[in-house]
Amino acid sequence: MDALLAAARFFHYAAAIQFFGAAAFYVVLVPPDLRRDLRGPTRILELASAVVLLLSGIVWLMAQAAAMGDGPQDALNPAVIGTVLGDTEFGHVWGSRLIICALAVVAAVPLADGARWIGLVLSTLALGSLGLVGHAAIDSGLLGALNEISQMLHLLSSGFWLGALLPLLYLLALFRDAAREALADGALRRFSGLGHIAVAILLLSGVANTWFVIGGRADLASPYQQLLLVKIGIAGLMCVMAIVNRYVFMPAIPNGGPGARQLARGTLTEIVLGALILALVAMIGMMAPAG
Amino acid sequence: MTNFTRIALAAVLLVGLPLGAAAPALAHAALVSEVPAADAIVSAPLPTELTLGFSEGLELSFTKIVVKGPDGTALATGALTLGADGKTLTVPLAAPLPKGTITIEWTAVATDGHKSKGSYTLTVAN
Repeated sequence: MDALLAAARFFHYAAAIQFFGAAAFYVVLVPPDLRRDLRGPTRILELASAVVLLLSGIVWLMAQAAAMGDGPQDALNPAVIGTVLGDTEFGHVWGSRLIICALAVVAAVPLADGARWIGLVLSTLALGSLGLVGHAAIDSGLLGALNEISQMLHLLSSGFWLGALLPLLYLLALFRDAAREALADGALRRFSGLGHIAVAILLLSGVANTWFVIGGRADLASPYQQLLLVKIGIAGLMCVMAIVNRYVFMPAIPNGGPGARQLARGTLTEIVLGALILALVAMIGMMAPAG
Repeated sequence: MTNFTRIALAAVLLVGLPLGAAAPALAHAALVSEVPAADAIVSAPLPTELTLGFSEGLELSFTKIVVKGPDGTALATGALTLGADGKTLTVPLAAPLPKGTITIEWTAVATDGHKSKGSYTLTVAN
C-alpha cells in the first residue's frame, strides 16, 4: 500500500507540475506569431497531465483511506473514503482538488486560444493547493499559514521551471527554421529571465520549508533528512545544469551555432534530474521528518 | 574574472546553499502526556476519564483508544472528544476501572494523514 501511495504521489506531483508549466509556458512566454507552432504540443501536454492528475488524485485518496483506516481493504471502502473526505483536513482539501482536476480534464479538451488562461488558472489551483496537505497542514496559526504559503511558492516556482522543460524542447526545435529563429529566441529569453526569478523563489522557499519542517531537529541519522540531503544535492546539480544552459549553451545559439542542440541536451538532463527529485519527494513526504 | 570562473563560482555557491525543500512531510503524532500518568498507581477516587496529549493535531474520526483490563478484555468507553487545541484526547470510562494492570492502546492519525500507535499501562490498587 505504501508503494501504491508513493506511486500516486509521484504521478500526481509530476502531472501537476507539467500541467502548470505547459499552461504558463504557452500563456506567458509564447509570442502570438509562434502560437500556431506551440498550440498543439502544449495542449496535448496539458490534457495528458490533467488526466494523470485526476487518476493519480483518486488513487492517492484511496491509498490515504487505507493508511488512515484499518488497512488495504479500506482503499475500496466507500464509508471510509467518505469519512476521509468529510472529516479530515486532508479530505477537505482533497475533495476540492479532485473537482478542480476533473474541471481541468474537461477544460483542456476544447479550449480556444483566447481561453487558454482557464487552463493556467486551474493548474495554478491544482499545483498550489498541494501545499495545503501533508506536513504543511500540521501547524496551525501564523506559523502554519507561513509554512503553507512557502510550500505553495515552492510548488509553483518548481512548476514554472520543471514544467516548462518539455515545451522548451519544442521551442528549441524551431531554431532550425530561419524564419522563426528570432521569435523563438525572444521566447527563450523571456523564459530565461523569468526562470531566474523562479529559481530564486525556489531556493528561498526551499530553505524556509526545510526550517519549518526540521527546524532545530537536524539529525543525520534520520532517513527523512538523509533523503532530503540527496534531494538538495540533485537540486544543486539542476542549478548547475541551468547555469551552463543559460551562460554557456545559450550564447552559442546565434548564427547556426551548436547552442540550440547543446541546450536541448542540457534540457533533457534537467528533465531527468527533475524526475529524480520528484521520485524523492514522493518518498520523503511519507516519512517522519525527525526521530 | 573570466566568464567560466564566474559560472563555476556561482555553481559552487548554489550547491553549497541548502537548495532543497521539504516535501509535505508526514509527521508522527507522539503521545507526550497522560492523565493519569503512564505507569501510575491509582487508587480511590478512581478516574472517570483518561486524557492523552499528543504532539500533533489529530483526526478524531480515525483515532482509536482501547482500554484493556487485567484479563485483556476491552473495557467499555464513551465517545472520544478532542480538546480545543486539537491535540488532547479525552476518553470517558463507562465503569470504574477494575483492580490490576490496565493497558491503554492508542492509534492516532495526525492531521497530515500519518498514523502512529502505542500503548501504556496503569495499575489500579485496592
